Amino acid sequence: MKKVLFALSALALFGCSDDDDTNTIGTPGKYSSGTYIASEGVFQTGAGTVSYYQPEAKTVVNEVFIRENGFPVGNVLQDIGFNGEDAFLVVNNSGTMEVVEAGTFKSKNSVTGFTSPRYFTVVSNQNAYVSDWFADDVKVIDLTSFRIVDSISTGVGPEKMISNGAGITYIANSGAWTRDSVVTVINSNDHEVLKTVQVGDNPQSLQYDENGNPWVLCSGYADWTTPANSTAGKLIMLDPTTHEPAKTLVFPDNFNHPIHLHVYGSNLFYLSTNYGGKVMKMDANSTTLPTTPLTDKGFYNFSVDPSNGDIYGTDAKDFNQTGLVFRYDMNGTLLDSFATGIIPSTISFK
Amino acid sequence: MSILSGIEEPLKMKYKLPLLWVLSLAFIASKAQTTDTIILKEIPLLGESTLLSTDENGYSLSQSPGVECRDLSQALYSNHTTHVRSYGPGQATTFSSRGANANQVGVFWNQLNIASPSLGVTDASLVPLNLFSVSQYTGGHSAAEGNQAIGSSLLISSNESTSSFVQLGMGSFNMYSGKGSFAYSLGSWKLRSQISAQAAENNYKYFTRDVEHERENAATHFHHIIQEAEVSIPSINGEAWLGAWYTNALRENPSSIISKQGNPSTLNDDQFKLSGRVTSQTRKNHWKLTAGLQWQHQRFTDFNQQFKDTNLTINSQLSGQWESPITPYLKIYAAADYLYSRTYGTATRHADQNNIALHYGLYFTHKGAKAQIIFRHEAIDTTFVPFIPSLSFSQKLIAGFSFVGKAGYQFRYPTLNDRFWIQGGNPDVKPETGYSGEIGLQWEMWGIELRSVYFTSRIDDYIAWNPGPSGFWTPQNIKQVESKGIETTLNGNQTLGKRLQLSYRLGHTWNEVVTTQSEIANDQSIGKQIIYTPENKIHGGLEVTLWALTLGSSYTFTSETFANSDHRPSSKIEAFGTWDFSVGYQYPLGKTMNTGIRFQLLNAMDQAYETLKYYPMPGRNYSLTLDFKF
Repeated sequence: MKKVLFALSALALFGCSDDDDTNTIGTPGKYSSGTYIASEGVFQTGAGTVSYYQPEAKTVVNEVFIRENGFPVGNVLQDIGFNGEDAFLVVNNSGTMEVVEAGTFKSKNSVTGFTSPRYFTVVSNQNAYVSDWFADDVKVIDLTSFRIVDSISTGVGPEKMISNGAGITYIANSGAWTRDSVVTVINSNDHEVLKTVQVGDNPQSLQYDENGNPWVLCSGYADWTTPANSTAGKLIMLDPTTHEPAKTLVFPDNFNHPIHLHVYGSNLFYLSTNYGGKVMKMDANSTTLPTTPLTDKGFYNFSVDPSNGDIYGTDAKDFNQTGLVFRYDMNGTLLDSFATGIIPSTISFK
Repeated sequence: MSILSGIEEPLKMKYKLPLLWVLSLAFIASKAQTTDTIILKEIPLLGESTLLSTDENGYSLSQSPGVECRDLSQALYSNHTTHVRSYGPGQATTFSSRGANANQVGVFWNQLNIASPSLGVTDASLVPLNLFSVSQYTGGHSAAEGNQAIGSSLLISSNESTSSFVQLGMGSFNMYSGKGSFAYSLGSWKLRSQISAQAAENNYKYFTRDVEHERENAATHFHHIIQEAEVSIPSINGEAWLGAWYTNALRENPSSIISKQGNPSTLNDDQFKLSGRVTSQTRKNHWKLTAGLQWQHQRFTDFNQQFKDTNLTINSQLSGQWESPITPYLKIYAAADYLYSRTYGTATRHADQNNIALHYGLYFTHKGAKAQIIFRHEAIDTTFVPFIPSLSFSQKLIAGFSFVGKAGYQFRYPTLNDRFWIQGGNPDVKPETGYSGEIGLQWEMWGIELRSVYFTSRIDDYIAWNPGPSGFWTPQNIKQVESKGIETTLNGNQTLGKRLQLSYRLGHTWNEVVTTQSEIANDQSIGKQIIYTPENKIHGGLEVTLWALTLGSSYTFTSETFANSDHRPSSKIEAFGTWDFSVGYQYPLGKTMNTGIRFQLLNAMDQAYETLKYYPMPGRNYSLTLDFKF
């Protein structure tokens, strides 16, 4: 037994390799828990892919969906969400959401009717929401029938969402290709808009801190024609009762646009700017923004493992070849790196 | 919903107007003087690639044996020296040659580079092939032709036909076309008027997951109007030529087959080109003045009608060339070019660019030996392009053989988008530079030409767009690409007996093109064939004419390519080969008039293929044309 464990450890020390064991295709529970990387694929001419990573074993299986189903998931795989034994793959440029069995990634259903779906969030036992960028709404999904049953108008370019599972869901309206500055608050019991809250320009992502306070990261507006008209990003804590801003931190310049907010413990994490920003870490109780990055490397996207605080950052290289994911501990020490698909982006955990 | 269904009434009107004009011009042309109504072929000067190329005749793309091609993209596909990337028939199509990418091939009409100065590429679907004479000269010609002439140069010149014609056509996928070309004289002026209109639904079938689908949102609609005029100027022993060329294209943009299908995005192109030249030739001096202007307006509307982009560019050129014999065997030439480009796009700053080029050289010819050397200096605004020399030679050997070779430095300067895109344009991005060379043998006898050359090139400071420090994508000089290969071509024309004519072409290109250096960390593309570039391409065409009957066939094979730079297996585009057949019959109506009918079966074996990943091309399809020549 010790020899077997030693052999396995030796494999791990030499990095990861694709699991090419076709005998386990379709094996129940093969992908039941771990880290899931959604790689977008080249816009129009590339298929999105799913990579499954097991951090304990440091093994990765790439192209999981096409391995298990024999056909590509679609173009621009944006998000992977979970609800019980089901996984939901949001495919932005195909306008679809693939529903698969979470353990085997075998296809169960394909939900159509979206315009430009972005992110998936479970809001109750019965329903989930999918933000739909160009439709300026969120689609209400029935988690039993896997159908769109309703839609809720939001602001421009609804992006990431958070839900307390008890009837309150917040939606960041990122402005899509233009500009917006509101968070939509929805009563997810009856799918009605409760309130529209004014925050900073182009709110992009939301998280609950360990005290249950919702935070929104606003990237700021990027004026490509007249850069001097660009605005600074903001990090805002909302009051969970009134939903209004309770604490606002303004970023120091108008030209870096922070993105992708995550939380672990008492800490908030985000990328200092889009397309190559470094991971920044701050205590949620702090009244000032950090100036020193946690990682030495910049990333296209990143996420934080809610089970242990490990940080995963994605490197898309030239956006036309296999990307890389780098795993750090929550103090910024590099633990591992592995190859994924083309343009690795959103990372989910189960 | 197709754009054609939405514009059926205007479309009918658009067809009626050209047809009326076609018929009117046909009437006028039939009454006008027809003697000496040829637009004289431009007499090339030394500093042009026709003499710098080791293949002095180039590859005729407009007269390739086998099948008649509708536009330049079809002709380039049916050619072993180029590889095309196309979103579908009539859709945006770019092409590459000898490992150079799409913005490293030069396309010139009367010396005017017709590539978009903002995008840096020429859409081959917008060039109507049989209204022009188009020839390709492979290899680098930067010293003579200037910017972009790295992989090859395409020279578009006047239609060499001496006759006028009207042609009506129809084909698969609701394709309809009409065109006319009329040569006539008005006083001392010799004129040619040409017009072409074509529309197609392009609703061809394709398969995904073994389920048949119909291609949606791929309709296209083209108009071309070309007017040329020429007059002799005896006082300077020369002539003047003027040309005007207008193109309008309205095209739906099909999504890839794994993307959302729905309401179409549309691309609307208006292009207007104006060009002129004056030449004079005496025993001691030959000079030419050339001027050209191109105005391009491109409007893009996305499928949600929520994002519109407009791109308006102007580029112009003024050139003067002079040559003179120094000795009976040696000529000298000198030339100066001024180029001006401007962009008014919504995504680019209003920006302009000035180029000044000086080039000069010597040409030697004596007893079967030819050699040419050219030097070029060019400045783009305040940036100097490195000194660009070029040398070519050919030496006749015995028994019809010739030894040929060429070497030179090449360059491509950044586009207006590279320099001025909002945000991310990099005004300091350097021109791409490098070298190219070729050496080979040529054999010519009995109407047969056989040519095989080994070629090699390297491009430094290769421009690639990547996210920069500010988070915006920005062009950077971050790669080096090397290319090598062997290009072999067999051409022949034989007349057997009194009535049988054979013409044929067989060609093969082996081309290995790899990224050799990169500043991208962990770049796995190093050492691998660059994307969308096959290592092997084969083309064969045969045309047999017996009495009035013409039979043609052609075959094109393209080896596998990859859509990702590190060759992920899932990005492979499988190798494919397509067969085309044609049969035509000409019936004389008098001494100078005849009518003809031609049926073509394209992709006869119904081969499923794509040149861009997830953009299927049509399966088996046909076209039928009826023409009237006079």
